[in-house]
Amino acid sequence: MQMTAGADALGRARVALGAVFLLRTTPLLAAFHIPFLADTVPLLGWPDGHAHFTPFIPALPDALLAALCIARTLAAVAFTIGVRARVAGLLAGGLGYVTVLQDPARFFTTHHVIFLGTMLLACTDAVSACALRPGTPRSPASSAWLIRAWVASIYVWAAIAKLRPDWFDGRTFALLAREGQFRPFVASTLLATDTRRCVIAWCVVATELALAPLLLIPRTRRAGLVLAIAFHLGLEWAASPDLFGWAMIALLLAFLDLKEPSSGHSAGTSGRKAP
Amino acid sequence: MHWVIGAVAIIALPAVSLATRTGGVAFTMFSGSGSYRLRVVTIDDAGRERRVPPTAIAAHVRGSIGDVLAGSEDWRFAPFGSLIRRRLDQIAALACETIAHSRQAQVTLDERRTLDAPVRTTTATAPCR
Repeated sequence: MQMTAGADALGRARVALGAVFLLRTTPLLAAFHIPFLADTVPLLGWPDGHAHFTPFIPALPDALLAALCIARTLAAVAFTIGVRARVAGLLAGGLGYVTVLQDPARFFTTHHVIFLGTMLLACTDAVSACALRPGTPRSPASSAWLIRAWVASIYVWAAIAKLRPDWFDGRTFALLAREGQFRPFVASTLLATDTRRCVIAWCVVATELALAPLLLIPRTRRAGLVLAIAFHLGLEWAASPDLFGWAMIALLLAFLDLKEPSSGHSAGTSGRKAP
Repeated sequence: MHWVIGAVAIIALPAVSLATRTGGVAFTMFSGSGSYRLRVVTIDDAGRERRVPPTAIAAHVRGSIGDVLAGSEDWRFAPFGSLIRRRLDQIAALACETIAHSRQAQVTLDERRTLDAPVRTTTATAPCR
């Protein structure tokens, strides 16, 4: 059944994003001394006694903040393994925002994608598959639609944010390279000239704009998946932008419906198509 | 229900974030070219002005505020312009703490959203206790 297959895909995305959530908010990768994960010891958002900007949400006392960091981690574990995953995901994502936004200078796009993605998956039938205690499926078609449309929209918004002269003429790439945001090989070869920077800048926007329809149209979905995963792996290799690429790859699993034919007859027996 | 959640997550949140230029929950995907520069001046009890490098305040307060302020006496490329603008009063108060016997601190932020955007200047003044 198409519906069951869709729930399986969402369930795999839930497990994968839950794993990324835990890798980004706990010291599981501390042994590798990854710079952008330095703030995960003992847990992301844990009170460190240092000065930070006043949050835009109510400030919490240190003891309560520490307790919420622990609760967030337990909820993320439950979400990942599928035990009361609906409640756990909403709790994990919500507490993710509450704890990290205590220091607004340390709230990044990667956190937002992980926390919001967790909450959205918790609202869908992702909790009814790949789980130790599967939840009851409620709305398979709109569940798949919600997650797929949201993931596709991320590429559209990313492209919109780049529709400006200093992106298209390659100056932003030059700036990022000068700031050390790319590995030296990339800065000294792929981004070495104005022409190359300009071409790559246009290619990035074209790729992001193309990904949304490619992923949403069943006939082109698998090509879109391959392109999206290659895009994120390329970014990871070139710039290692936090765990953002891995969070996106986890979410892209929602499109990987193994029982869905790539010929365009994707609605299965139900006659309904996810966007 | 999924339609409502989708409308909020897919359209409303990123659109509002982009429209208000805070960008916090828009999916800009590491495309920012914003920059900022800070000028901090304190005035002591005798009325003498003293220019304070933001890096000196950063060394005093440390933490994530220190990370944001360090090096911002010159143009610094980082996505913190909007955050600093909304917290200028706090930076002025920290300048008071950093320089003893100050009567008043004035913080001026120059920021540019992109490489081509005009410079936006915001100033905050705080009395020191």
